[in-house]
Amino acid sequence: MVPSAWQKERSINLKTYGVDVSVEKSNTPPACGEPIKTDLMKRKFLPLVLLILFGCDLEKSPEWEFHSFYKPAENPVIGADSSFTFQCPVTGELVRWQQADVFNPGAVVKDNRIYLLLRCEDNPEAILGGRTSRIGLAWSEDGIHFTKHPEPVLYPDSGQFLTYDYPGGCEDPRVAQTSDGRYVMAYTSWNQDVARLSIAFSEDLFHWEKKGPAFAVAHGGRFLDHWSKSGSMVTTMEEGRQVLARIHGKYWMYWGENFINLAWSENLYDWYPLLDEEGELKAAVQPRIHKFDSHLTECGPPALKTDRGIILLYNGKNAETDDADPGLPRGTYSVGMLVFDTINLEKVIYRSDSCLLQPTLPHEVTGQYQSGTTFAEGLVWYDSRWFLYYGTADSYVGVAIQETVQP
Amino acid sequence: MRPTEAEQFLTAFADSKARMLVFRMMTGHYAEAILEHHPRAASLDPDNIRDRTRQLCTVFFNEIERIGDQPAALPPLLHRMSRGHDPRPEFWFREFNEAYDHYRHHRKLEVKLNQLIPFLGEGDYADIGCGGGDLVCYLKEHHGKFRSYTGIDVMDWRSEAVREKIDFRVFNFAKPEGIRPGKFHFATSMAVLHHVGSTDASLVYFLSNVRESLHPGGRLLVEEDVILPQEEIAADRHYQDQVKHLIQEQPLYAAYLALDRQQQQHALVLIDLLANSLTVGVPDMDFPFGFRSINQWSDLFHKSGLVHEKIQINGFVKGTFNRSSHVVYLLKKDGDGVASS
Repeated sequence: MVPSAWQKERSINLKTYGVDVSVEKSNTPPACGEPIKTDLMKRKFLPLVLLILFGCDLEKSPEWEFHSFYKPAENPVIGADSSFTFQCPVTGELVRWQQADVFNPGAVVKDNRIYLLLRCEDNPEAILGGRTSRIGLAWSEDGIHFTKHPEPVLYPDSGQFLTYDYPGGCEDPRVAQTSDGRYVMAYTSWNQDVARLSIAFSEDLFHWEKKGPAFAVAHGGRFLDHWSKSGSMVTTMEEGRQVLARIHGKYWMYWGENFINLAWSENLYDWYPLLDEEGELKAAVQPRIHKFDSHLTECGPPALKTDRGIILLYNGKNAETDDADPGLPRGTYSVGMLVFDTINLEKVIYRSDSCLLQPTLPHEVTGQYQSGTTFAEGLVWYDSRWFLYYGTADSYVGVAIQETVQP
Repeated sequence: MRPTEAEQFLTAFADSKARMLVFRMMTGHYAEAILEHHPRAASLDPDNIRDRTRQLCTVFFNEIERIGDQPAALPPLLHRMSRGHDPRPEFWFREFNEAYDHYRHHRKLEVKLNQLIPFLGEGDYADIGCGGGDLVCYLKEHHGKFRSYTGIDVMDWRSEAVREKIDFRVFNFAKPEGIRPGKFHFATSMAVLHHVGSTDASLVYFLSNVRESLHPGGRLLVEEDVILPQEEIAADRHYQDQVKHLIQEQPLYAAYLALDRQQQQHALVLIDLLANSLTVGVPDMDFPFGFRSINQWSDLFHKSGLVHEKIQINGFVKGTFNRSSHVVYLLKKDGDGVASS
């Protein structure tokens, strides 16, 4: 065999081209001020909460993993804090960026800690939807007691996406990790006109690069200005790590609130929603009358591919009309479960008749959204248990835990 | 990428003969493809393009070699070197990107159609494992001799442009539930079978179900990347004649054929993953490297009740960017064939 040019040119490498070749990433949080411990003992609801078991749908879902979450007594685990300040790059003003409410968390495991991405709202005086949301970060070694990072990690700034992100802000993060260790966030850009599902990338969870609206490119950009929210990317367990799954050579994401659509991507930021025969967004799942999801079926944490199906926890909203499930207060958000076929990802092979988790604790039925909310966005396998993180009445972060075997 | 796939890749990379062949092939073929597909090809300096292509491939191979036996380090490295990385690394030089993008969006299907034309029949056509349906759509618009055009895949992710032009059936021949997609006179399965399953039994089951969807006398065209061991070529005069002709045009193909069975398998693994992760920009793979030899495929077709009409060895097909050891099988549903299982 003739010696190859490659063997003669050992000196040419990635550094020659200015590419970062470091494999290991630093585990140390960046120096943006000292992390501040949250003070759980100040929570007014803490003494009221005892261990509560849930299993609304136990009899019908023994074959699936998620059916017996309990809410530990420490709930809620994160709330607002007016001591955190941050200079808003849009207005230049110092804002108390999590003074009003902290809720709807995405979750991911990194360096043997659980990290939460949190929706943090600033102005308690503004009405529902009128505040600016920024995304904060907190971490924990037991899944219950969290340390908050003092500044938001994703927020409206003066970049090219300001028109989508301001004044409503960046809301409702879901986060997942690629098998090569990058983090991908799907969040809502809210300009108080149209909600747009947007994507951001990070190497360390602290520094995020916005990639813009997920549907900016697909189908000629036809869905860029379409109302879109709540992206649950499909993940799988690889040697104990939950990572984004490639199926049929693509990444997949369930998304939507009025109905559930499915979208695929090759680069994780341009997403292509599936279309029906009329060329409109295909509805893989829709609300059902007289069920907990009679009004909305809003995607929850990243979906999880197992050998038996792709499990999607979702947030069902009960109708405000006679279509409502009579067993739940009208307007309640509760958590249900869907399982999709692993080959045809649109095909539903199981759907819970009733909810797996619902508002029961005082702080889950009083707050910014008073019909009662347990709104799940984060699910992680940690310390041999599943931790489900959810927003409560648009005001606090709650956790429910399930002791189980890894799928 | 699953850890086992990274391990398989590094095992293949540690095979110096396979690695050297793939290095030579990539450098040569990328440069040729740039010079052929660049929108302003006449203005390019061929020596300069060849030099820069060699540098590009040298970076890949040097960096992968640095990993040694740490499979966990492979996916992040492939991601950083990928053309899909944002920002795109500078070693992906402008002419490469211009030529590749032009090829992928304007020439790839044309090249594929030219390959297929000698085989195509008439009647009702289906592409099994059609993905987004681009090939079906292109055949309809640029060939147009079939009566109907249907894409079949396990789910429907057609783009808006394709959706309006072709029929589509969601169907899984590996798990045939629901309404069968109909009967066809001519079907294609382009580099799909190695995704179907790693066991012979799963492939025979799949192919037997495909056979059921062919009219009597209907044909199935299969394209796969295959291993061509010397003993299998030596035992078949048709193979020998084709190979003799091919290696005159493609000297590197002679080097590939000189490798033993395992070395060829290693070369195919390297080509498959490098092409996908670096050029296309998709660093993860979600399917096994299910490469088989030319006769192993033949046996599977026979067991599935499909009779060979023609086996064409294409080698490292000219005019394409990512070349591998293509073989095209034209198979016929024969009433006397072995019954499907």
